[in-house]
Amino acid sequence: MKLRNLIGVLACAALPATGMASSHREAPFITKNPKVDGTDFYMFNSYEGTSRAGYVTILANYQPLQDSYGGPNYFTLDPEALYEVHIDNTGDGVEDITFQFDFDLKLANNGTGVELPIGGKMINIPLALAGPLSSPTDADQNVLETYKLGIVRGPRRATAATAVTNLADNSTTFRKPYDNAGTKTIADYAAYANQFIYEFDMPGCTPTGVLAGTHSRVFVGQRREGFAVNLGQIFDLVNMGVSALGAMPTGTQADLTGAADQGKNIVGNKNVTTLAIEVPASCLTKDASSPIVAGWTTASVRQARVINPAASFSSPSREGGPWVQVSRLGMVLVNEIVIGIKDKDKFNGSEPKNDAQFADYVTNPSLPILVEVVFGASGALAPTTYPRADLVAAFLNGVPNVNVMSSTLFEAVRLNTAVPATARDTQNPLGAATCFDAPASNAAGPMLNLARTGCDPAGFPNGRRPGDDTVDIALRVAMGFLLDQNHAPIRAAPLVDGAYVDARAFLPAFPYLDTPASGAP
Amino acid sequence: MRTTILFVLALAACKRAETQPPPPAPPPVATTQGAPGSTNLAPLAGLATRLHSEAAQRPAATVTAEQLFAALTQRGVTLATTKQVLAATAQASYCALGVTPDAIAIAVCEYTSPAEARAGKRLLDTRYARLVPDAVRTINGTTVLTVANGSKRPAVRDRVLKTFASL
Repeated sequence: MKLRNLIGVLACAALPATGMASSHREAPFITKNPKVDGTDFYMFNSYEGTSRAGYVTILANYQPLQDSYGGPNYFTLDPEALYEVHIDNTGDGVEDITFQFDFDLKLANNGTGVELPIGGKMINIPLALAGPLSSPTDADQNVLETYKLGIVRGPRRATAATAVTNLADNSTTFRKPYDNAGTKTIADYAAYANQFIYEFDMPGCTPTGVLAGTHSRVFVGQRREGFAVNLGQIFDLVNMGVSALGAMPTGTQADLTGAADQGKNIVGNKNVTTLAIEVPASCLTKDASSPIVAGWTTASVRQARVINPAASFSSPSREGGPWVQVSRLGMVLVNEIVIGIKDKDKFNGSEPKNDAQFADYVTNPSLPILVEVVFGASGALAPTTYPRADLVAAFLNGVPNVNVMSSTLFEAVRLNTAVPATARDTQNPLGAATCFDAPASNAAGPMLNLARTGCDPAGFPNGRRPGDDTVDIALRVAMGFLLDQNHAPIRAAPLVDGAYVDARAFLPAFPYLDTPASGAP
Repeated sequence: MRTTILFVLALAACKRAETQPPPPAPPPVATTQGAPGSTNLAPLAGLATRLHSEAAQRPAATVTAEQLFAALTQRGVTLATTKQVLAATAQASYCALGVTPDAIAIAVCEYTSPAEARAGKRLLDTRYARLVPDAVRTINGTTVLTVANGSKRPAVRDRVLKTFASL
């Protein structure tokens, strides 16, 4: 019965899935570099209201699985790294616009830090603050984290970035809020964090299609983890529906075909650090006749690092050499459940224009086989057609009639900016996946039906919003939702992971992701 | 070789920065902290182990998977693939899955007694009704047969069911 081969497949399918939410610690090397570990990437037409119509919001999350009590240093970003958001508006897999975030970390009092008189001596305090915080300029904040935002047009390393001006003070510096240490440190974290939302105008662009007098916005700070997944069960498939280890589902186990919300989201109490920007769609697109853009985020570090044996706050190491990309994230779950473990670090260092090298992982995926092994006794089958052109469309090329940019295959989040945003309260967690009828044949491809009940074309995989249940969508697409019944016998099965997301659980306005979990009550 | 390259890169980086770098200290011992759930490989390792275990402890079933698959082949039902699948899903001792070229699923689960086979069928009928809505199941002694995705090829499905009943 080919058991040996089967176990090999299982190992290949299973190992990449460990320790992940969307892209949390998904590749071996990135686990050593959590500050530059990109976890999720969202891009959607802003749905805050009419005042923000015509804007696109982009959220790039880093530093996974933050425990809110993680003091005293909490979760600063890497001042030696370069965090970037890339936009391709021509469909060639090469960035046309790049937003660069360059962070800085300093002690207060011009690098001396907050000191207290103790026994006749001035002693530097051991904490990152000396008292409660309520504003970006509190004198009690001992460690100050700021950043500069730059924009590069064309290939990201070809030219220097143009600095963005902070309209609050006409400087080029933006502040990042202190993490949510607890209510004694920051009594009203939501109000505190909102003071770190800054306005700017995008250099080199005169926007159209937005309300006059409005500006682009940027925010970088801690947010509550927005990705929902039944980590321990869906990617340890053996624990879902029925246990692979002989135990039937219990009250603590999810049912693969049960209710969508089974309260199984295990990362909901974690925090991440979000880089959020909101810019006019017209500043991202090539022109009015090309409304589709592709986006992804990367983090890069210097190629060489020498540890300073006499470390100081400002110089724990010496870094130099060219930038080397160590994290890449576009479409959800690609580097987790699609790319083989031997190539995960390679993928993190790769550029979309070279994605043909990873095509086999998409056309011949291992996850459906794992599902078949676990549930095959019931007659459930993985899709039987290879190569999986449907997955190529979903992950590498865009969905026909929705967000295809070109024939070039590359992995990124594709957003049709011309599709009107859906108001938060009426969004469907299954997004644009609800807009397809069963294809008559695989050759015909997915049948777009905008009149379909529940159809929400403004959601994943047309961009990605916080409220899109990408795990459920990915599960169903992997099992053949975009294929015909003959080649995907369980294509219509309402597969769920038991962890539910709903747009109403998120903020109604920029930066959309919720206030972070507090480190103390 | 790789170490040499890294060392050269490190030196080049220092030179480029025009600094007086301190001599490199020995690399620290890796202290990467595991995140919650990140090291939970046990269930997956357990899956492979479980498959091994199920294959090694098959009961004396009324109809084995191999017998049915061989009989089907003799009667003109071609199987494109056959493989062992997880029996625990059906509370069985051992299960195998055969798939025809036109994607009809033929799942055979072996139990230790007719009573267990009946309980297993009830479980499959109820728990997976939404997952595999067109499944047809029947029992022959201690063996449960599931034929799924066969509604478009009823003749093939019926031949499978009749073959199973004849064994």
